Amino acid sequence: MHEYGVTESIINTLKKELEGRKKHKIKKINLVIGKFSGFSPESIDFYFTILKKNTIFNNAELNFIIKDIELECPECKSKFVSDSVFAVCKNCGFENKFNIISGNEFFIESVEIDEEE
Amino acid sequence: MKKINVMKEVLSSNELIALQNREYFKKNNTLVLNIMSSPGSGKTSLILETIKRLPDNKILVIEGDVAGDIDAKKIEKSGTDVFQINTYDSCHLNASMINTIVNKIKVKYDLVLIENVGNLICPVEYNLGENYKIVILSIPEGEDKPVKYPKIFEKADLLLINKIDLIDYSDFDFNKLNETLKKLNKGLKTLRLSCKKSAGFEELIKWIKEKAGDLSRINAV
Repeated sequence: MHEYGVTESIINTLKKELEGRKKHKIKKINLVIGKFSGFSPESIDFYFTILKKNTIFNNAELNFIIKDIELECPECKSKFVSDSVFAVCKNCGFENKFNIISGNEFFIESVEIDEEE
Repeated sequence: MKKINVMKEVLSSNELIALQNREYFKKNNTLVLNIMSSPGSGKTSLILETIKRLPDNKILVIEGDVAGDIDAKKIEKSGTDVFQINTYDSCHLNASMINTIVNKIKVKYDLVLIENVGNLICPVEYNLGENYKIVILSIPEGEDKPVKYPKIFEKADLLLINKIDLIDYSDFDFNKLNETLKKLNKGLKTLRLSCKKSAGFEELIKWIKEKAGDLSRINAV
């Protein structure tokens, strides 16, 4: 349920970002989302479909750029992609707390618009 | 088609307000603790037991619930200042909700205890302007919760194991819990207590007093 609030945040952030531009149609929103961010792309998409109706986002689609969970072994410094933060280092066998290199991302990368003549 | 770079954190507006809250509390030398757990693990009982042990401090409690003021009434009965926030359709507190309380505060508090909405998922995503995040795990919930809900335990500054008086009636496995925590949040301070039996609070009070002496820290998601 917490995706409702963040979908509103995405819309409000972009409204501010696009303020003062000449007439345009918003086509695509590129959203970077890590697998350990705690947010679900499916849910954001669901709420976006509801919230965009009759707004300037009516024709817009969300494009999710999914970032894998990448861990760094604090012992041997090797980096690898993992399904979760619980992992075993493939290089040295370490299995405690890894440094999370990526997977926590959650930001609006860009927006694609068609400017009207 | 024209591409416009935005590069903005989705939660940046929450972060900004959290920082404003933090600045306010810092200016007033107030220690702020964000208490999170699943429903029924003992957040309100923990707050009541804690304020009982800090009679010389000016304390404010902020209660977050989807609906109702049951918890706020319990706090009020103890004679402690309390604000109730009802989140209605939202499953967590956010910085803006705390900011509305900040705007109502008329006196200087030593300690603000924020009871977040009972939920192990969403509350951890939203900084409120707290110094530290406390997570409660109660014995009946089982030791596997950090495996199932890793993020909140990864971000915790202090883990309290409540309802320790029920250990004899439970399969709760501390070895398994410690193994998980080593992988998730190495060195996480963990205290065992019982609100029901009013036991095990010495260490918690010591921790709070220590932290009250170092208010410079800003919590980050």
